[in-house]
Amino acid sequence: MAEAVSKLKIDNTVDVVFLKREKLPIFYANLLLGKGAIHETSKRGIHNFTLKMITEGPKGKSPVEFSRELERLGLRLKVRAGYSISSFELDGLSDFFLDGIKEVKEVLTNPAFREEDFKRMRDQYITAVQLGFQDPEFVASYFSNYFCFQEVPELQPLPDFGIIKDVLSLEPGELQKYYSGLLSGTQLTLVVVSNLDLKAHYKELDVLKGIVTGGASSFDLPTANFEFEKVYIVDMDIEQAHIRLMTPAVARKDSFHYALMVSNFIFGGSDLSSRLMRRLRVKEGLTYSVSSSYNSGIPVGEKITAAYCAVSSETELKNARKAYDLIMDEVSNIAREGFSKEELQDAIAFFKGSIPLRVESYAQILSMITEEVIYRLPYFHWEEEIAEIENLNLELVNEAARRFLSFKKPFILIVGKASQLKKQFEDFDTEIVEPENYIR
Amino acid sequence: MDRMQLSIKKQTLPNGLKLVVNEDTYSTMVAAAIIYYAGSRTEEEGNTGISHILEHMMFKGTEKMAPEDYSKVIQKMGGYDNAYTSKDYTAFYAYLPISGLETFISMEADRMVNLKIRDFDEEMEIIKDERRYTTLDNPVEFFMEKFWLNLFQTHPYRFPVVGFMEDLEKMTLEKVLGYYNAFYTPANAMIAVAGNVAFEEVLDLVFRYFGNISKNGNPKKDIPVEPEQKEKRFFKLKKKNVSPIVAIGFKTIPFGHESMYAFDLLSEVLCGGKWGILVKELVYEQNLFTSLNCESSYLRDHGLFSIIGLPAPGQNIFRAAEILEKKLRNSENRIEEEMLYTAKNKLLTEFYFNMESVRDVVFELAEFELSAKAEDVLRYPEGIRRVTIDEIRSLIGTHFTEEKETLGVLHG
Repeated sequence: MAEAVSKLKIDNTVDVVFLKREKLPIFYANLLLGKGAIHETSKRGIHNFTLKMITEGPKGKSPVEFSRELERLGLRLKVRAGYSISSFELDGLSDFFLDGIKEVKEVLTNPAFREEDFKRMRDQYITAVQLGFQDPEFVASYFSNYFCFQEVPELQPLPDFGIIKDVLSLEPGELQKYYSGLLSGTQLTLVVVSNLDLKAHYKELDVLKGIVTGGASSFDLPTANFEFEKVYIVDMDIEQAHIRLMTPAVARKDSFHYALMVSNFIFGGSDLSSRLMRRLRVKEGLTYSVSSSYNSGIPVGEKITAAYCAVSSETELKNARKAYDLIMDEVSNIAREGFSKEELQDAIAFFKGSIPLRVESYAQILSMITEEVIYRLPYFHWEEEIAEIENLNLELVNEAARRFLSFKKPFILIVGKASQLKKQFEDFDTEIVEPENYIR
Repeated sequence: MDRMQLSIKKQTLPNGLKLVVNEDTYSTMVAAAIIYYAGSRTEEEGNTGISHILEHMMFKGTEKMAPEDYSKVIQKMGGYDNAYTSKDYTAFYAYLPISGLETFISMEADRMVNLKIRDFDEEMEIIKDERRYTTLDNPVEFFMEKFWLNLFQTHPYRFPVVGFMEDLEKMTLEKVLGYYNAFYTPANAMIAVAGNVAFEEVLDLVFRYFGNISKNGNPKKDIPVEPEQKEKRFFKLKKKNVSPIVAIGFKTIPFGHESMYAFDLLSEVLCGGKWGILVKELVYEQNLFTSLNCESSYLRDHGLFSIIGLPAPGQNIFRAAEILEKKLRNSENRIEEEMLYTAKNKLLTEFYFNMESVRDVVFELAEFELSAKAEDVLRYPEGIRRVTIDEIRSLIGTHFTEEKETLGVLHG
């Protein structure tokens, strides 16, 4: 990529990071706010709900008027609540970039918080809960977080969903109170990829001044250590079983980070070529999908915390135990024999060869730069990443697997018919979870 | 808007294989797909899902390639591959570094003629698992399957792409091989490529690997014609603990029809953002629904205009459906120039975004070439600009009549 990342400092609270790309007269922008679900001081989910309320429109404009004002310029605005950082995502034609930024400022600094919008959004949330609770994958995600991070309540909710009981008990006044502290003691970073040279618009970007106050503040979060002795079974009347395993891992910037990236890729991160897929799907015909993932943690101030590795799979109900045993058998094989030299070479070849695919579109480049901002990485960090991966040896990759893909006392959660699942896991201590009890 | 240029070139080989290429010198990669004209449309009662089954079996290797090695080869180059089956076609595609295109083309040529299916029974279990996973355990998908079954009574669009379980249970290797021999031929396929490549070079590669393939099939030509719908169809589905849904559908125009642009705009005018006529009134003013989504989609033989509504908690779903139907029919005279202006700007901007990545362009080209011609993709902005308010209004009176409606209700 020939283009370079540039940075503008608007004042002590606002930075602009941008990359000029000439291909099309469009822009993709992320306005990053240094606040997220972990900063919630009361009910978990209030952060996400407040952000959604903000984007219903500023004072003096109904949600309908605000939406039409954006769309008549072809602008799209979405908000995404994260654990420690949230983003206002804006895109459209470059001619309307500054109009879009002004609209975001207006809505962020002068939100309407109308009672009727609150009621409607509450109804929309109830519908989302109903839809979510009929989707086993969502149920697995919701309860995995809920039970796995019991010791760190800030991490229990999905950041863009909250804890259902907490959200349903919210009152309009609580949102306004939360909002009053949302924009202080924090920082904004605007990340943009477009054909515009934002240096030429430096003065117009002054509009971003004064949205937040105070600059970044420090925040600490207890370490999420998880060791489990039991299996959580979420009772759902479905034909399949959905299995989730989680185990702690190293955070980004740890010396094992790249080795674990590669280990995970070979283990379950490479689709049909992965060890798990070849064993459970190709060899046994047991599952449509099985994969592993490595989540390298959440940035909290200077630290990165709550990194974990996970395995997800679904299979016919009667085969749940067999699938679990095969996953654990593959884990044992790796611990005992390690990966082969050929597997490592193939993985390195993949990471190296995939660079052109990772920076092909505006959206991908924006996402890459956003990641660099959030994790305080150097720009074009993938160049460094590839160099690190190319230097990995089999010993280190196997050691990473032994340490972080061993799934010793892992968190285990299975969604499906409890009556059938409990029998299959009777050698475990099991806890049956009735989803209904977590709604009302 | 007019600064955007796509360089589209195409050619048909003597054996009937089509090639369509978009040269994009800005891209860092290449996206390539081979499309076979085999999907629900070419299936028959009792053999539903066979196109999708064959899609799976295409990864079972050839005389010289072991099962599942296809993806491994692509991955070693840093690429990504996958496949999907739709109502109209089956696509095998890869995103690759530019140097990987020849490998993709050679492997596709190999499996067009040399497929050797291993582990058939095991793979059928995975496909049944997929049906349970995507449809049986998913009330919305299960409901939408019933919706299509009601929309079409004769045309095979009524079949679910994944197939009915009873058909999957009795599928045989022999039937799948017969389907492969009939449909997976050069004359029944198209290769689409988008990326930083030169047309002549791609053409050379395609000639080198596919030029000598003389495989002739006998793909089904007579697709049952769907008779004109003369009375409203209604069905309801009751399921425990589900979020209720109302679905209204009308069969409309096929892909490539001149009214496509007007239908796309109508969908925005009715349900766009928070300002579309139906959304504004029924979600934001009356709180009858928590969301309403209009979609105009197009297949080779028919289009579908659908409105999917999620009623607000506590609302009677049948009453909500009735009000939605009435509002829809009364919306004709409530369309204003300002709405059309907003809808046009929105779609013209979206068009840019859809054409931004070669990952999307490759499928746009293929879909346009399949039902019309690839170059028509460039006419989209002009087509949108030309639509008048009268054209949009007339669609409602012409297409959204009661006798042409299919209404489905999912309730708890």
